[in-house]
Amino acid sequence: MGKQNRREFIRKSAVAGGMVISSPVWFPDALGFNPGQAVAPGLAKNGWIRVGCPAHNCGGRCLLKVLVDDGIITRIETDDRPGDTPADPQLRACIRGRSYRRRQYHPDRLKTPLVRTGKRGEGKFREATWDEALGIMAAEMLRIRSKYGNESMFVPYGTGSYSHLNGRWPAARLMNFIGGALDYYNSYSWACISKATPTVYGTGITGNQRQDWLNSKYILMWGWNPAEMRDGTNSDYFIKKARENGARVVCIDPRMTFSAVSLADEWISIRPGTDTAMMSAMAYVMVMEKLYDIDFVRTHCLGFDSTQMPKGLENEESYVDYLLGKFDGQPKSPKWAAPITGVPSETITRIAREYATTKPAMLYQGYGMQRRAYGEQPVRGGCVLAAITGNVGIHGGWASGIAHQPGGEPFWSIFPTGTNNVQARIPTFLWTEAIIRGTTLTAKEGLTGVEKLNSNIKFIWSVASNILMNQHGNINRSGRILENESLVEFIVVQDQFMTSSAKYADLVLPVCTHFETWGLEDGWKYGEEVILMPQVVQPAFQSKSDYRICADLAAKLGVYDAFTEGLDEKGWTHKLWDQYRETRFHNLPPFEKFLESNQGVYSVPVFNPKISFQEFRNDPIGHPLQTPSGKIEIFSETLFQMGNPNEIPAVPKYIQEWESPFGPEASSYPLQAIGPHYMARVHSTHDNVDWLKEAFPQRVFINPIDANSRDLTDGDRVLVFNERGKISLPCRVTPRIMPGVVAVPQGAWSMPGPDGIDTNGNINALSSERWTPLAFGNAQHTIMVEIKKART
Amino acid sequence: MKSSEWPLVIFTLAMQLSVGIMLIYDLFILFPLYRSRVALPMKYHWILLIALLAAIIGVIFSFLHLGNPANAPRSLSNIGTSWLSREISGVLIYSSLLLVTTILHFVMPSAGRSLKWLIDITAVAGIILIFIMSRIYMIPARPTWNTFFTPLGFYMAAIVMGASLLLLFQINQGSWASQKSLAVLTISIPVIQLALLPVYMSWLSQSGIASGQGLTILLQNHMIAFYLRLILYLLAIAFGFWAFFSIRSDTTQNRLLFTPALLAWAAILAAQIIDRLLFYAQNISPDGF
Amino acid sequence: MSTFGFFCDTSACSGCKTCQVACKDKNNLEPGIRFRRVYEVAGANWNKTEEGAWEHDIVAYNLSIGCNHCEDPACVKACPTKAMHAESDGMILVDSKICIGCRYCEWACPYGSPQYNEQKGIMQKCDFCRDYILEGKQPACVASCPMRALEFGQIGQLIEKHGDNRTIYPMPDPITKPALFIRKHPGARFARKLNASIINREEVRNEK
Ligand code: SF4
Ligand code: SF4
Ligand code: SF4
Ligand code: SF4
Repeated sequence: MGKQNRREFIRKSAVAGGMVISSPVWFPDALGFNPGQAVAPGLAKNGWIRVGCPAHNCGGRCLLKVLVDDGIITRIETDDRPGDTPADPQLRACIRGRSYRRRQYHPDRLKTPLVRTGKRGEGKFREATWDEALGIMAAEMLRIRSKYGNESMFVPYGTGSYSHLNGRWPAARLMNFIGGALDYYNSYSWACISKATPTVYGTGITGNQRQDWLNSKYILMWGWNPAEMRDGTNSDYFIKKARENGARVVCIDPRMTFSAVSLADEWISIRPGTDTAMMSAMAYVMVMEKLYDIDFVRTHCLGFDSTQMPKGLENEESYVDYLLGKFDGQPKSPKWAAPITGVPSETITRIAREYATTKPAMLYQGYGMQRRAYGEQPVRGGCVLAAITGNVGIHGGWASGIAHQPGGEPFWSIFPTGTNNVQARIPTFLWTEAIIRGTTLTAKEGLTGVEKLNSNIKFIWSVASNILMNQHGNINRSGRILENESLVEFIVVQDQFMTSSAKYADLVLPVCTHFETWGLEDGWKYGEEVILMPQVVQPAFQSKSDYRICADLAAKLGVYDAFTEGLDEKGWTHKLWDQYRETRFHNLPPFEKFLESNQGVYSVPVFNPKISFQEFRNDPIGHPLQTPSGKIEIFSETLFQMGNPNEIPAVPKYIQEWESPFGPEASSYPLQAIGPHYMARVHSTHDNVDWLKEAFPQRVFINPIDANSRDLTDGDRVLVFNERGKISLPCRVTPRIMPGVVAVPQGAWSMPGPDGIDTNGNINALSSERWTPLAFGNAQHTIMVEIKKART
Repeated sequence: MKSSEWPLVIFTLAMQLSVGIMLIYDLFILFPLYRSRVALPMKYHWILLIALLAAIIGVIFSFLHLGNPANAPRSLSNIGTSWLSREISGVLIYSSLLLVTTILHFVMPSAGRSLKWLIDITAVAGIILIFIMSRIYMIPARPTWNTFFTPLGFYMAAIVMGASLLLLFQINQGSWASQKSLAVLTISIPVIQLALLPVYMSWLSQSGIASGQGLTILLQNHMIAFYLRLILYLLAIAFGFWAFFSIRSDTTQNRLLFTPALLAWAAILAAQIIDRLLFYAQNISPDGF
Repeated sequence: MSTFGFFCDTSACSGCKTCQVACKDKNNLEPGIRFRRVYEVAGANWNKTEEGAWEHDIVAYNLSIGCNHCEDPACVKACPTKAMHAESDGMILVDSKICIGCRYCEWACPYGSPQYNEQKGIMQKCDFCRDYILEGKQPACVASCPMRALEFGQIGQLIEKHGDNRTIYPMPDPITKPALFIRKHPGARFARKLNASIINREEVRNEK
């Protein structure tokens, strides 16, 4: 594979100044990619083309400029629009976008459809034609549908590759033309935060446009790492600008992240899963020292203290009751929180004072801390801190929570997937449950739409998704479930590479990259932009776009015309473009004109950033929130009525996690393992890109104190293990992570050796399938492990 | 031992062996004979040939070090500032002198001491060459090399390799004392090298991050080599003593000397090879750049 | 005499290495060869407090370096072939037609800039994106930085804008007069006291 085949060319390029530089040119045609082939009609065969960075659900949406030479992409640059002001900043791509040629022309690109020959999961396949492959698929779909019904068919969560047109959307649309499929709600990213934010605010639109950050004077980056995960292109840059405007930035995180190093004035190390303890202690300080916004709390909030409890619940535990320990006898003082959080009590007190007294201030919460055992609590805790300090609805403030933008939704896709005749929906994270015991699931496990499922999942069509065997909790368990052919009877994986999930497919369909088809992106969570993604080169080998695959399958299923509406990829892109023109971006130029201009991105400069909750702030009676009480619910009656106060308290509480350094499990597995986003990947995408691996090899990060006590030196190969699995990978000994915590960046492709030990460092060999109590979300970061030197 | 610098190890050691042979030959064998009128026997010319051979091996390996030897002639273009340019010129000059000297000795075997001035010049060129060689490594960007230990080490390597090799030749024409001197050199240089080791290491540990790492490299990454070299030094000393006490004024007893001299030579060569490998393992940029 | 220089704002550099890859893309560099490298400096003491919390005095920052096109370039002096040479505008370039791959410039450069190409047996190095500069564009690395931490410009202008600081711990004394101007990360003040060091050596070494 690879290396030997790569013909090396010397290309002499005359450079002004008399110098001749020879540089090795890595020639994709040597790998069998199709150079010189006609590019899509109407497109330049040579020259620079502006296009969106292939979207793999990183938090950014950036502009790329690709140089096409004879049908091959030979260089990738980024947004170079002049100006680059905070109102309309350049959408500069990160290392992943800039590395894309090494993915685009990777020797391992899937070339033809593949049909399984060995046992499921063994990874043995034979090549097949499209006609045969889609024939098999259509027949299996019809067979399973008639045997088990549409509720047995499932297109799982997957964001490995999507634009508004491609990815899983067309598959969802096609399923809806043949009777629908079991659906899911929430996500691996945001299950708790999207559920818990509205329990406080009645909405997920709690954010302000980012230009407003420049008005802030104090920013708490709480578990938030925009520099690495790119929570919106330019979010890191906006924080930089806010600092230039005088904001003090403090980062609270178990790791001294890229963001902590480059954006923060101070880094506070906190034990994972204890954020709500620190938040409670900060609130305690604010209460004791009367630093909270007394007026705002009185007029805008509910359940802060016993004077403002909902009717009939006056004697229940208010937030202040909880803080003072009126019911449990334990004041949530900084002294209480210090040994739990690992943050010195003076630090907690100081940060509480700083945050409460510097106005306006932002508490921006990241998403990692809500992918934990009781991930709902820090979300609510953060929102409550923002509320009681009066930072809601003002410039420079931040209400915390999921923080969607006012006027910014929807940002996933505007592609019409149609109506699903199957009403049943499961939480995203519970698909393995729906395989092994779907018919026994109830509302207690988050099933909605129906009381009971008629069938377990029998058919999986996994498009642009690596959750089957890579990104779900406890993948060793997933493997045991999936390899049992009597459970799921047919698995289709549609991807660009033979991922660990694709190895478990019965049928693998090769998909082209975004450079090889049409698409459209918007600014995702932030950013008022539309990015056009014209096709710039031909699909590699026999690969096809997700849309084309679905259309061809629709033909086999007899619904081609309804599915396609007579449109190809470009036609749909045009149609979606027009839809944006009519709804969200009224000044968007006409499609063909914009395409011709090769401008790539249409953006709306933001000079007067929108603020959430402004009207509510000014007039809480006239403009109440959508919460039951119309107020900011520090105490939630809805949660109270759920009757599970230990796991779903009505006020945000610190709850010791089910695996924690304070439980009995810590005696065998004393280290907390977290799986942060990695610069080298977007989830599991890009794990095979050499330029990225070179820049950021997969490692487990460990503090020198923990390394020394285990006799580990930097670079040693180590075994990270618990009862669920074992992974082996090199260690990076670094002071940039707190003692007692290790980080295994999530998303490395699972590569189990013959002994079952994963050799590539996939953290999900260690994580658990247990879900959070309220949101039914993944708690994959709640893991205890031990580490020792691996035998080499 | 794994090292990408084998060509340089062989190149530098071969050149230094060559120079060492010439130096020791000139000082300890020819010089005592200076006043006597005996013609030089053929055996002496073979010494020159060995020195020449070593130099040729050195030159060959210097090419192997290059990534692109085709351009090698260009390497003389920067004598003005480049010590490497100077080194290559030095190698060429020294090797040419040696070549001429050797050829002349073989062409005119009876010329005898009338050619000694050529040997003197070659030896002096060799001394200069070793200085230039050491200067290559004495650059601010490589603090572990940028020290007088570098030339010291190179010169000691030349002397001890030359002396112990010539001891093997059991030349005792003239004065048997010259043999004793060679044995003394064979013993004392390893003694000095051993004695300097702690000095060098304490210097390493005290002079900045990169040099501190140099110490780590020595003591951790290459621990086996480090201790092996110690043992080899000790062996060389022991064999040196054995050789010393095997030296007889009676030439018929020469065979007694052969075994210990051979062992000493082998130990010294092995020690120098490891020494040089460790030297290149210390190729560390300042502070990790 | 060098005309152009780089500026690196170490207080803003996140260590994301977009610059490194932008450069690799422009120059088609195989893994192991990095015209631009990002060095991660870190040091800290960690102590457990009486309360059972953790205290630290950590310092960490990043430094992105291509070639500094030094005003007194050690590499040029060292090169025996003059393959490594200064152009009239001060840019330091390697002429790969002349280079013999002796790697001596690599030893002489205090900044690890010359990158050896094992396959071709020659040295390669940041050429300041000379072609781009002559076209009036920014070097690829500079234009790539999401944090806008890199700048390119005339030495005089850079000094005027950012001052004449050419070093940050643990860079060596600027004896080669690097045309690299640095805004210091505030933590850099404490780095020496903490015995901080470059901790990502495996990510910056010129080898695969
Ligand atoms: S791109 Fe910018 S922020 Fe990223 S490593 Fe390079 S200089 Fe630093
Ligand atoms: S940084 Fe190194 S390679 Fe670049 S000019 Fe300076 S000494 Fe030469
Ligand atoms: S490697 Fe090439 S450029 Fe570097 S010193 Fe040698 S000849 Fe000069
Ligand atoms: S100036 Fe060009 S060659 Fe130099 S580091 Fe930047 S991108 Fe690379």
